[in-house]
Amino acid sequence: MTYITDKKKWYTEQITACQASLYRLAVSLLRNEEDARDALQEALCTGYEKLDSLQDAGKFRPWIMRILHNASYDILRARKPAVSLSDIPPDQEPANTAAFPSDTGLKEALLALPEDYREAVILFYYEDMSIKEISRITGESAGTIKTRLSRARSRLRRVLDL
Amino acid sequence: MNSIDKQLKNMAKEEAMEPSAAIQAFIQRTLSGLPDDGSPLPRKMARSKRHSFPRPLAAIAAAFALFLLIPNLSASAAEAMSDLPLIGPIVDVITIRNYFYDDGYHRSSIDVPQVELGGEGENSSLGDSVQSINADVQAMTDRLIAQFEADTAEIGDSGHTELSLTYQVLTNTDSWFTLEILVYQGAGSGSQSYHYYHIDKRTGQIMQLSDLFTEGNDYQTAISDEILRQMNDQMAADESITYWVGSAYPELDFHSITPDQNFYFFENGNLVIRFDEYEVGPGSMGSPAFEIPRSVYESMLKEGY
Repeated sequence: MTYITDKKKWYTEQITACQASLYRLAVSLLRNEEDARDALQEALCTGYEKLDSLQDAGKFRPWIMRILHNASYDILRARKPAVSLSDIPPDQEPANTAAFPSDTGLKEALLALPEDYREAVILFYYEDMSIKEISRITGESAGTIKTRLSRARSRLRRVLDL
Repeated sequence: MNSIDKQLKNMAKEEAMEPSAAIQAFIQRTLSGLPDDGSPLPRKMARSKRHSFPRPLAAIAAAFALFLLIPNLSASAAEAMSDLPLIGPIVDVITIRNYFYDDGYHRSSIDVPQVELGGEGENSSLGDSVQSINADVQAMTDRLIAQFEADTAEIGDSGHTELSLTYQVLTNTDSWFTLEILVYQGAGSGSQSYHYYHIDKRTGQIMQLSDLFTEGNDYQTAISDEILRQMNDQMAADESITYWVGSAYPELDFHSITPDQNFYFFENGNLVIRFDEYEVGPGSMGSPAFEIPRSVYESMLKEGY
């Protein structure tokens, strides 16, 4: 990115343009504003430091979201490093969707999903990203993303009564 | 794209989860703090110090975490596990209520925890302690929600407020249980507060810091001196760190912990003393925590701790 003359101005414009996407990813993964702020701050600082490694300015959004993904998972690991809900076999996942009131919205249903599913849902349904793009951001295979989306979709359908 | 996907994408558009003005301002503040010339980031200045101390592991080992999680996941698994012979009483925490609100100006996210006893013990002193903690947590969440609703009604669209409550089980061994609750309240600038609930599972009693020590021992001075030493070491090593010690306002300085000071046990068994925001330093220091080597206070502990 050596062709950018005013690095900070360009970076500020890019971040501002995608700040809603960044916020959604952080708060859906971390489920509270305080940790989301920490992840955003970490990602914004890391992104700025590593800006020279961005090869294609047109791919800034997935690039910074990948950095935010890493920052968010660092916080998640520090918070509960032992076992992820997504490591539990699907037949042990909560079947108790009756606990949700009938007027549950997508956000509430989303936040009740395991973290890996939340990320796939946010990127696919809210950010309108393709499986391939999600795969790049999360570092998971396309097959894994499809599986997560499929399970998340199934859970959301039950909870939201779709 | 199937119809479910279309429905979900439409719902996502309607519930866009936009960042509040406070979050947007936070992002802009972070950006404006970046160096203009692309020089290396002054990391210690730019980043939050809220997590400067390693948070304890939510569970001590993977197997133990599974033990904690499975009863939350399915009723049949919980029933099956209640039949297992266990050394200590089963204490678990579940979310009994999620309180979400977001009107674009005011947002809250509260997970109301409830401590639960597995198997027998509801009528024991452990059961009384669990009930007492649950009542306290309920009163706190009710108070926070009522305050949030009052603020929302009063402020309307002329300002922004935020409220979140999260929790985690820090310790759950056969002899000790600790629940940590973190409350964040924001209106302009935010503040956070930690709340800890401890149970000695062997006696069933709710514990505070002073309950760990025998009568007549000055554990407060011993631990406070260690904290002061660590504060001074940190300030000497990093000029961006500030604690209120030896300042021009001695009445505001930190001098000693209290008998009911916030604490928990780190995974290695050491005590960790937690301070709230502004208790021992400026807001930029967050809620600092200090790990106290066991050698500092071991001789003063009651037997068994």
